[in-house]
Amino acid sequence: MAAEAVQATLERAWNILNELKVPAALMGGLALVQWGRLRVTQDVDLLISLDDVRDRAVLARLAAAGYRSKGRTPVVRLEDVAFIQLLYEPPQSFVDIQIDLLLATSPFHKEALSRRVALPANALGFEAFVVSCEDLIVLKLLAGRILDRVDVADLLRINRASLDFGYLAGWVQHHHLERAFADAWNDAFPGDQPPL
Amino acid sequence: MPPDPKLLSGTTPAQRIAMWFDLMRTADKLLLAGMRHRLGPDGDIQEEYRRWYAEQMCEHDKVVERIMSRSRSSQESAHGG
Repeated sequence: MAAEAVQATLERAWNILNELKVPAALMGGLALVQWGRLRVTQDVDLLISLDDVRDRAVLARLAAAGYRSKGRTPVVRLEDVAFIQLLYEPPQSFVDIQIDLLLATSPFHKEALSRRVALPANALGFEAFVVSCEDLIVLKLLAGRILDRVDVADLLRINRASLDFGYLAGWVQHHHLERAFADAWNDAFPGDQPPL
Repeated sequence: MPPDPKLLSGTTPAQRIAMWFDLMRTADKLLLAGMRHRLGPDGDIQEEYRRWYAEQMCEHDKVVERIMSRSRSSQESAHGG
């Protein structure tokens, strides 16, 4: 049930964002899968830009398609950053799947969205984008759980040869994540000096 | 040493998604079997699943808030805030 429900929740929202020309990129468990780390995920996380489209129009279209606010209001604001939190009950599902739309307002989020990577249509059944592996690593370091550290270590192991460490270093330092990165690097390559 | 099953290097995006579907279906079966065992044959498994999912999302909400607030605080410190 869960995989089909998550995919249905993603596909419907993705199509709406696409129609409204809202740039978006997968950044949760499905992004991890694309960068080689397989694990379960129960929800949909997207990084989106609403710079050119009024958020009310997007919310109205999503509401008309059956997406409803999880809380009192769909937009959760944390001072100058915000995200949209919705629930959707796909057909044949008995649980509402959560979808979080993180608004790309910080310099890091904007750059992450600009570097998104296309997925072929045959992967999910429709054309989609994921955040780059470097940006996914920074997002995981920001999340900061043990599970995220394990994710980062695996991403480093799998993608070491193709990572842009110069780019990664910039955002790791910007967010003061040097220690967290070094710990994950040590998990991935014990005894090997971190490149940052 | 056997290959780590989490490592999908050398596979196509479509193959990775197919493997993700397999993993999700298997994990769901195990979860539902555990719930059925705990609840017994007459327990409301759908309600139990919804309760479990809500708990998962509670934890997830904290992660999303942390990602967003840490991005914001880094932005502030980068600008002397």
